[in-house]
Amino acid sequence: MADVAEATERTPVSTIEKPQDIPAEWQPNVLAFACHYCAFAAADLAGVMRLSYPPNVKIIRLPCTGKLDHIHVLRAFERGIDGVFVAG
Amino acid sequence: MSLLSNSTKRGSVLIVGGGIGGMQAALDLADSGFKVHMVQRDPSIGGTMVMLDKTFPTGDCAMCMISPKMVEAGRHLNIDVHTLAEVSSVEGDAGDFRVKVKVAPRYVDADKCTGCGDCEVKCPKKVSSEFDQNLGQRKAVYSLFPQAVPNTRAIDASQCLCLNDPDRKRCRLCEKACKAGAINYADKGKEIELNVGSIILSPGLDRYDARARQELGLGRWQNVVSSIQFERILSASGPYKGEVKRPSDGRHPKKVAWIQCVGSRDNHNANPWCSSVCCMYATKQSIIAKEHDKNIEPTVFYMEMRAFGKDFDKYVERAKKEYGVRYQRAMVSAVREEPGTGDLVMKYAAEDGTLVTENFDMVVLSVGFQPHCDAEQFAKTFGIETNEYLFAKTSPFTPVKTSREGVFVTGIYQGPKDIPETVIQGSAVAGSVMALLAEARGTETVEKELPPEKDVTGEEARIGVFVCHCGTNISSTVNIDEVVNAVKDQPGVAYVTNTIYACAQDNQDMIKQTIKEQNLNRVVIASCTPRTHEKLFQETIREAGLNKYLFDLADIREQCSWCHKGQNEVATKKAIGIVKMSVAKSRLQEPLQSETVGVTPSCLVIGGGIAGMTSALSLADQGFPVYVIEKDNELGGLVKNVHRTLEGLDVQEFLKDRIEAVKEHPKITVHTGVEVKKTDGFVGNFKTLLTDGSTVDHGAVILATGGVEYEPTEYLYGQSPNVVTQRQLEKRIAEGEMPKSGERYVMIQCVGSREEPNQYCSRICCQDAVKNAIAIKERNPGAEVMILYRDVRTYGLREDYYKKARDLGVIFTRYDVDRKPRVEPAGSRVNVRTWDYMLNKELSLDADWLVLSTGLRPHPSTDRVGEMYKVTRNPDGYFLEAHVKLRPVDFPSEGLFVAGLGHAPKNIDETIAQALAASGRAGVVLSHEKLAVSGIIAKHKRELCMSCLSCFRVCPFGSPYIAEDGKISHNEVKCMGCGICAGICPAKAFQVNNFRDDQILAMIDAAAESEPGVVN
Amino acid sequence: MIVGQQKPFDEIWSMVRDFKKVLVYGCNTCVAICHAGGGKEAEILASMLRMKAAQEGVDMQVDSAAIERHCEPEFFEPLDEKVRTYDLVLSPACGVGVNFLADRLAGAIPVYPGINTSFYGGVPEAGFFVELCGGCGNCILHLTGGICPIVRCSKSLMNGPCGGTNNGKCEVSDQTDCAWYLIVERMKKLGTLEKLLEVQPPRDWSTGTHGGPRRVSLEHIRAYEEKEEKNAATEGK
Repeated sequence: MADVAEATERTPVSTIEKPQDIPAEWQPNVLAFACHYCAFAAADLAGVMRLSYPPNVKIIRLPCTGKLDHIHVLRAFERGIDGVFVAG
Repeated sequence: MSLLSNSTKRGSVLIVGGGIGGMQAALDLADSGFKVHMVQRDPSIGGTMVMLDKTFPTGDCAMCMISPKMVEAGRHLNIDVHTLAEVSSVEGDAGDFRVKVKVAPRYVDADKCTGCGDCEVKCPKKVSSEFDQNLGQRKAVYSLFPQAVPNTRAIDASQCLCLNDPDRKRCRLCEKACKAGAINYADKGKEIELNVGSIILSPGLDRYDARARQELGLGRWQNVVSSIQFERILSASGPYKGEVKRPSDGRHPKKVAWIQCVGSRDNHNANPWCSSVCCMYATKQSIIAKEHDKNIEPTVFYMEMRAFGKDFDKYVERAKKEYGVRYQRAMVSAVREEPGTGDLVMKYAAEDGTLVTENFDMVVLSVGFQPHCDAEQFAKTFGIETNEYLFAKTSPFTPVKTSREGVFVTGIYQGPKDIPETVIQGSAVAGSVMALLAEARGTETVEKELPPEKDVTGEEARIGVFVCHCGTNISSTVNIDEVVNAVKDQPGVAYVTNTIYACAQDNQDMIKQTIKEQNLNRVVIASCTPRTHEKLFQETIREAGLNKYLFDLADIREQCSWCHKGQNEVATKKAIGIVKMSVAKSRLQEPLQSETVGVTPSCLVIGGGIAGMTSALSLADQGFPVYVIEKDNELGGLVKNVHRTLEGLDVQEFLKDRIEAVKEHPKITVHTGVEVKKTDGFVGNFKTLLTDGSTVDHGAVILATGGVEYEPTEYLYGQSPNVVTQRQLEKRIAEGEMPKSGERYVMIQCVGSREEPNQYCSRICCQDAVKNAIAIKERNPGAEVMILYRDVRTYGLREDYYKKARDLGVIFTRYDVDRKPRVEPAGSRVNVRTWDYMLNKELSLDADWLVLSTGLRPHPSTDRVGEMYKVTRNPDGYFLEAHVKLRPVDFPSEGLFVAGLGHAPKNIDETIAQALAASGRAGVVLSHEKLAVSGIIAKHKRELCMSCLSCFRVCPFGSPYIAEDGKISHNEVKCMGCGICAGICPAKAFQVNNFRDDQILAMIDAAAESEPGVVN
Repeated sequence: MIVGQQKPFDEIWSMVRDFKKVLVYGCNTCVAICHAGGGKEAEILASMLRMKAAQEGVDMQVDSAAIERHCEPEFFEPLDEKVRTYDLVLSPACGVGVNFLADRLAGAIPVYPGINTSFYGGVPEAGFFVELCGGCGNCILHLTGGICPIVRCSKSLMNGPCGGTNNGKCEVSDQTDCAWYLIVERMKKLGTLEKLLEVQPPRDWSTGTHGGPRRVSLEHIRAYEEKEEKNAATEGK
């Protein structure tokens, strides 16, 4: 189980962004968690069909979205990811 | 048993047709020691299923299900796929056939082609797409559909500008575009000769061409489409990208009508049989259409709702209640277009007989199935008999055997059927072939030899990163040099380079060489999707001596360059991010060992009915010891009470023959009067204690627990001697009872079926009624038979007998569930009153015999057996298979299979097919000396675990278990690596290999550090 | 086991907002099993607090840790020193754990509760907890077919159902079974229905929570322990 020291080291306080006004040109950095069997396949299909979508989303493949842990989502936000998308 | 001596049998099989049935057979056979040659007429395998959007009754995406199977079949070391190929001649006998195959020229060299598709982009010739049913276009050099297997493009010679120029000088743009040099205009095709032990025919189907029914307007009115066109319209990868719109003006239709039985159940200019699937696909299409666009108002015009399969009635009820689909029982006589609007006007007779005119925005014709147009020649080539409709001729007792020994049939060529039935027959032919060629198993298959694995434990990460151009597929959008530079300095990265095609043979060799030269201990390839290429690259690094799990694939094509065309700067940034995420994960990768477990090569079959005995005989013929246990004191099961099939075959004689065969087979041990007391173990290693005290060790188990007939409490059954069940009537007929002239038989259908709490169709009762009605009429045409029905469900080729009954003068009168017949005693007879919807009045009939068509129930032991083997039952009490479409005889836990009435109500031929399928699936397990456990599984740390049972309760595969010490343990053999346990575990005692929390967190951190894609 | 549920996040935030250095200190026994306050939940809560602090512009350090059990002193020892470097311990352990740790820290730093300790219950299904015992200190389950009327009857009735029993359900909610209906059905099956004819006298509630904190002392273990302590004390002299 997480030791205090380890916990402290893992998430330095300073990494969390303070709230700020959103600049006009700003685009969120979105992270998607996708099930290997369905949503990840769907993302592939979007590519195969050359469908265009904004490039500011990156995908982490999971064996099943049931594998997703709360802490993954929270960690993403703590590290400055602006939006998390779970699909499966 | 074959008369051939062992030495002449070949260990290879020819499969003609690469649809889902053929693929299932191919994978089962190739996974159990047989070499498979698959011949497919199209440029890709896949068949009809790949054209479908979703499947009923679960709404699963068809492509998502079939695509992994295609990839598996395409990559299998022991499956050779010959596309654009047709068999021209067959010689020889069972065990040793010589087959000539003509392969048409593809004009693209499969050995060189990487499937990048650059040729297709450059090809100037647009052609109407047959895959999209002429609603979309393709190029002259094309792949049939995006997920085609093999992924090699083909040139359509009839359309190619170059091939149509005698000098071969025109165009040649694809040749210029192909950086792999794979285009070959001089391709002449070839003829190959194969020597195989058995042949499986799975050629699939043609669809009825509804243009023949001119009055319905297909090909005449633009907004009349066929059901297969509508599938393409619904498909997200179809011509309209899943948007439901009208071909004429692109407007979203509101009122959409489905017309059923187009080309089916019709002797005039169409096919007399029922196509079995149209009622359900129309229901599915109306539901999916509504899901795509909630404003759509679907109406299905039908004659009879044939929702006879497992959970089908519930699906139709849902369509009505939750989706507001309107079902209108009416024959539509004509469809015409309202001039200038594209709207369609339909005329039909409402139930009360009034003529109604109604307008629709779009009309879908539910077209039926038929054998291919060249079916006659096809049968001649293979030397098999067909029935009068040119379907392959089979018997209900041998549903996948053709008239020629050693030649088997699966799928719609045997008769109209849906996907799971086809898959069942696919495994059934596999099982039959395994039995036929048992002694030749393993004689023609090959195994790959691999160098010893290098031990990298404790080494610092030395990651090699290979960034692929994919011709121009990636490099025209993503700046490869920038990606290479950006990852160079990432911690752990020892080497970075680029490559034109990472998957091309020469570059694979380069990667292997580089691993050795640079002493790499981890590899990241940045190219395409892991779904199609991970296994290939894992093999590559394994061949270079690295553990295959020290690999990660960064998808910068499907998920980057292909969807961000023209946005080169941001796409490059995103690609850098993706590769950095892979590198972050790669740093934390560890070599994983795939454990193996031994297999006890024997099978336990629970249930000694026709299903259990069929499975047992097939497995015993394959050479495996089989233990059959039967609760009753004798073998036979429910079929003991059945005398004739609908087709008139003698069931009792067949049963006697099977019982004898089972008793005499040296590999089969029968335990009667015995049940399972306790069981333990997992795939390959079960141990079952029986109530007679004996213990059986077995590697697989087939649950063939069977069913019972519903004993009615309604309609004076048991109170009046004139009220009997169909089974009792059948017995009387078998015993020689002669109906008297003027004697009146009234039959009531759906007794105990299709009503709460048994909201399902028992599937067999319509045919039982028709069978007995025909028998009565044939014995004495002067006897009167009236069948009170809700829907006559004589699906498939059984429709013939429905027609025969009507021709013999059997009267069919429909009743509604809200207005069921009322029965009262009337002296020596019974009085039946029922509403006649044709006459619009109540009929009162005095019947000499009231015959109840009672439904089926799962055997009372189903629950107990299910609990013991930890397999679930559906709300109706039937075993729930692993997947209703593609795994119809499997359970989620491996090594367990289901056959017969314990799975769902079904006919004898269907039970036999499923039993053979179970033997095929079990044969796959039992043919292995050892089973490899995947490396991607959850690892359980017992010292962290507090046995809270969360994992135990949520795991779909039953891999966590309560061990003898009363605490949770984890059986890795059962684990499929989904990680649901890891997600729910409050103690974090589970981690999934290669998806560990630290790896995912590292990827998250890398994603956060890399800049967001767009910062304008 | 003890079942608890995490407090609403806003309530937790209002408790901790004025502290600079907070430790979310989970317990890996009962509250972990009910997904309320084990190490995993402590980590989640800490992460949420860090983000809330950042959003509110509060400079706050939040860490998490967890130990096996919060109701026995020895488990605390390895982290004792570190814990005292914080301004606040937010404990998602049960009320026992919060009391225990607060006593141990003896006013050095405050210990605040992160969960509401709800009841003693069972876990019939994953993620579903039901109260089955009230800890009344005077068990009568042998008289009622193993079904406790103290907690399972909304009125804690001792001599049969009230007039609100409704086709096997309780008038308080149709989601709640009538305990006395269950008791009668169970005792029918056990063949001991006649036991119910015996009228239970008014109940002595002093064995429950109404008579001050309760203790249990196991003499056979205490005797040994006390002897050891005495010996140690003598030796010390």
